Amino acid sequence: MNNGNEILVTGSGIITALGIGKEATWDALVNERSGIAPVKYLQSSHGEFPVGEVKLSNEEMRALLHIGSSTITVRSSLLGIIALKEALEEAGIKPSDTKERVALISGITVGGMDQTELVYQKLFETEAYNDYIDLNDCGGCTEQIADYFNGFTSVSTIVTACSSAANALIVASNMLKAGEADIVVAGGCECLSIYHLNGFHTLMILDNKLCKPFDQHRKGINLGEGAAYLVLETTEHAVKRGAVSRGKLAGACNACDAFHLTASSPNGIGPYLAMKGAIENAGLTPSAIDYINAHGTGTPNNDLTEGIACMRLFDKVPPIASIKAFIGHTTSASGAVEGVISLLALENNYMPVSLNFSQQMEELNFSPVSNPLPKKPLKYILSNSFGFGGNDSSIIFASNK
Amino acid sequence: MSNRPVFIQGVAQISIQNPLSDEWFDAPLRYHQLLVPTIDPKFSDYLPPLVSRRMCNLIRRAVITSRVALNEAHIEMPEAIISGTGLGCIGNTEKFLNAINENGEEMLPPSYFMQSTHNVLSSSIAIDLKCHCYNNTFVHRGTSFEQALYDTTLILSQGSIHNVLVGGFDEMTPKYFELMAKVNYWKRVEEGFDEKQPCFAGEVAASFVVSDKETPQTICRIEGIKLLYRPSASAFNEAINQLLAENGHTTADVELLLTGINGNPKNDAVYQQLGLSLFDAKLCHTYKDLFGESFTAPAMGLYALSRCYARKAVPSYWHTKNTSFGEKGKVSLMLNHWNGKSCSIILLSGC
Amino acid sequence: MEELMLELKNEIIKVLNLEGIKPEDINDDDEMFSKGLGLDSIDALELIVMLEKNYGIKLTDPAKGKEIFKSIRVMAKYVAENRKK
Repeated sequence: MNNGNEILVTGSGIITALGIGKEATWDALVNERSGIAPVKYLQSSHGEFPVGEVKLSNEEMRALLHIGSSTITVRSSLLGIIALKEALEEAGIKPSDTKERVALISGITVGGMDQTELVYQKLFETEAYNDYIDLNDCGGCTEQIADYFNGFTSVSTIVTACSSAANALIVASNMLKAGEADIVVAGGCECLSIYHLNGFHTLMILDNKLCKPFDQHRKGINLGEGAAYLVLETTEHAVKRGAVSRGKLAGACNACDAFHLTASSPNGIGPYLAMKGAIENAGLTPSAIDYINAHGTGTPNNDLTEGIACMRLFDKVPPIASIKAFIGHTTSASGAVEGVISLLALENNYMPVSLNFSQQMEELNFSPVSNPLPKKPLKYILSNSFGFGGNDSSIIFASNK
Repeated sequence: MSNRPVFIQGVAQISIQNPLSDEWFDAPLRYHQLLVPTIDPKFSDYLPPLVSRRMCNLIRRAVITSRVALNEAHIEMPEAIISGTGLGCIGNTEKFLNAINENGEEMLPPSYFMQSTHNVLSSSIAIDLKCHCYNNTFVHRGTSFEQALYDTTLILSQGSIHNVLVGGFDEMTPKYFELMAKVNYWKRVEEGFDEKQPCFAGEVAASFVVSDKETPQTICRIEGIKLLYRPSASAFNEAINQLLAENGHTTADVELLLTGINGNPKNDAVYQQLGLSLFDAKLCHTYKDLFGESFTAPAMGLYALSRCYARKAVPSYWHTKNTSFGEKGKVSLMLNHWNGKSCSIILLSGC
Repeated sequence: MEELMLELKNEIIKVLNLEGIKPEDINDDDEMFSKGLGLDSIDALELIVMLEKNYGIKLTDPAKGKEIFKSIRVMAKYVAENRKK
C-alpha cells in the first residue's frame, strides 16, 4: 500500500435515532440505549411498526440550521445538512472558502418523497406547491444540501438502495486515487416516508416488535432514518494542509448478487464477493478483520444469506454485530452511518453489540456479539451494506494505529 | 479523468426515433407535440413473456439495448454495469403512490414498489446477464448519464476492469410531464406545441459498451469528461480549454459541438455563457430536436455522435466545416447543463 | 369448486401479468412455485394482496402463503374455507 495514496477520513458527521453527532451516538451505543420507538413524526397509519426516527421535527431541524419558513425543504436534505455540517467542521473545510476541488457524493433513494406524498394531489390542483417539484427527485435533494454550503465543485447522487452511501464512499475513493478532486465528501441521507414504509410492509419484511438481527426468531426490519458524511482525502493532501486523520478507508468492493430484485441468493454470492473483494482490495486476508459491522437487517432472508457468506469467507467468523437494533435500517444512509460508527469503534477499541439477540440461527455456526467484549486494540473493521437489486458493497475501515 | 482515453465498442438505443436502428440519421422522425412516447420494438422478439412479465417497459428497454450493445462489441459479459437515470421507473412510482392514496396504506401491490428504486435498471441488466460485477446507478437530474459515464472512466482507469456496460434510461408519464411543465421545463399541455419554442419531452434508453483499449470494434474514443457544479461562465469555458489541452487539442480542432439546446429559451440562453462563445455558431448542433428533452437525453446525444463516428459522417441536417468527419486530429465536444447548476463536458474523437 | 378454481386461474393470470398463458394451461394440481409456472416470492406477495382484495382473507405470515399457493386446488380449498367475501 502506497502510504501517500491512502484514503484518510479527516472529518465525519452523523444524525440518527440516537441523536445528533458522534458524541451522542457513541454514548447511546456503549450504554446500549436503542433509539427504536413508536412513530412520532411520520404521518403513517401504520403506527404498529417501531422505527428508528430522528427525534426532531422538520421545523426543529430548520431552526437549528437557520432555514427560514419561506424555503421549502425535504426531510432527507435537512438530515443531510446537519450531518454534513459536523463533518466539514471537524475537517476544517469550507467549500465556499477554498480554491481546492471539493466534491460531494451523496446516496439517497426516497428523494423528496416525504413531502411529495403529503401534497401529491395538491401538486396538480394548484400552483402553490410548485416548489416541491424540483425537490422530488434524488438529485434535487442532493443539490439542496450542496447549495446550503456552496462551493462544491461537483455534486453527484448515487441510488443503489441500501448500499447507496457505501457506494458513494467507494466512488469518492476512486475519484481521489485518480486525482480528480482534492477532497471528496461522501455519504448519504434518508428520511422515513409513508411510501417506503408501506413498500417494505408489502414485502412483508417489517417487524412489529424490536428487530432481532441474526436471531433464530427474527421477523424483519425496523425502518430507520438518518444521515452521515465522511470527508475523504489522500494522506499527501491531508499532510499538506495539516488535517488530522480520524481513520482510513482501507479497502472496498462493489459486487452484484444478480439473483432477484428484492431477495438475496441462497448461496450469498453477492455478499461473499463484496466482502472478499474488500478484504483483497485492502491487501489483507480474512483473518485480519477484527469486527464485522453486519448489514444485519433482521429479515429471515438477509441474515441467513449474510451469515452463510461469512461462514464461506472466514475460517472463523470474527466478532460480528448489527447496529440496526439501535438505529433501525437507515437504508440509503446506512453505509455511511455505520461507517462513522465503525470509525468510532476503532477509535475507542470497543465493539458495539447486537441488541435483542437470544438464540443462534440453526444454519449458522456463530452468534453476534450480544454482550460487550473486553476492550482490545481494533485495527480493521469490515462494514457491509447489501441493497435491494443485489447491490452489495463492503468497506474496510482501518484505525490510524 | 486520469488522462487515459476510453473507447466505445458498441451502442444501441430505443427511443422516440425508430428503435435499434440508424434511421434517425437519414430520415429522422420529426415531432410537433409536447410529449412523445418511445417507439418500442416487439419485446417478445427479445424477451420471453414469462421473463419480462414483471418488467415495466423501461426495464425491458434497458435489458434489450444492453444485449444489443454487448453483441455489437463482441463481449459476452461486461465487467461492470453502470446506469444513469433521472426518474427511474416513474410509472411504477406513480402507481404505488396512487395505490397508497386510493387504498389508504392497505392491500398495496409489491411489484410496483420493488421497481421504483432507481437501481432496478442496473440490477435487472445484471440479473439478465447473471453478472456479479461492479454495479452502480446515478440519479442526478440532467447529468445522471454523464455521472454514470464519469464513473465508467474512473473504473477503467484503475486497470483491473477492462470493459463497462453503461447506459442512460428515462421514461416520462403524462402526470410527471404535467409537473415539470408547471416549473417551466416545457410548455403546458393546454399551451400546445410552439414552433418558436419547440422544446418537447422524450424518453431515453441507450446502452454503450466502453473499454480501456481500442479494438477492431471500436467506434470512437472518449478523450475526457468533466463534471462541474454551478460553474461560473469563465470556469466552464476554462474547463473546456483545459480538457482540450490535456488531450493535446485546442478549440481549432473542434469540428462539431453538440449541446443540450432544446428550444426552451431559458435553457438555451445558458449555453451562450457556457461554451458557445468559444466556437463558431455553425459548428453547434443539438440532438434534443430528434430525441426530445429528458434527464438522460445526453445519452441519446452520445449515441448519435458515436454513430456519426461509426459512419465517418454527420447527418445532412448538421453542418460542419469539414466534408469528412472524425479524421485524425479532429475532436467533437458535448456540452450539457441542467438549470445552469449541474454541468458536463465530454470530448470525443474518431478512431 | 371448479368455478372457483377457474376464477383463481384467471385472477392469477391477471395479477401476475402472465401474458400468453390461458386458464387451460394451468393444471389444477401442478406446483405453481419452483416448478410449473415458476412463480417466486414476489408473486406470492401479490397473491396475498389478491386474497385480501377479492376474498377478504388477510395473511400476515408470508411463509403461510407458500403452503396455500402450492397448487390451484389447494388454494381453492383454502379460499372456500376462509373467504369473508
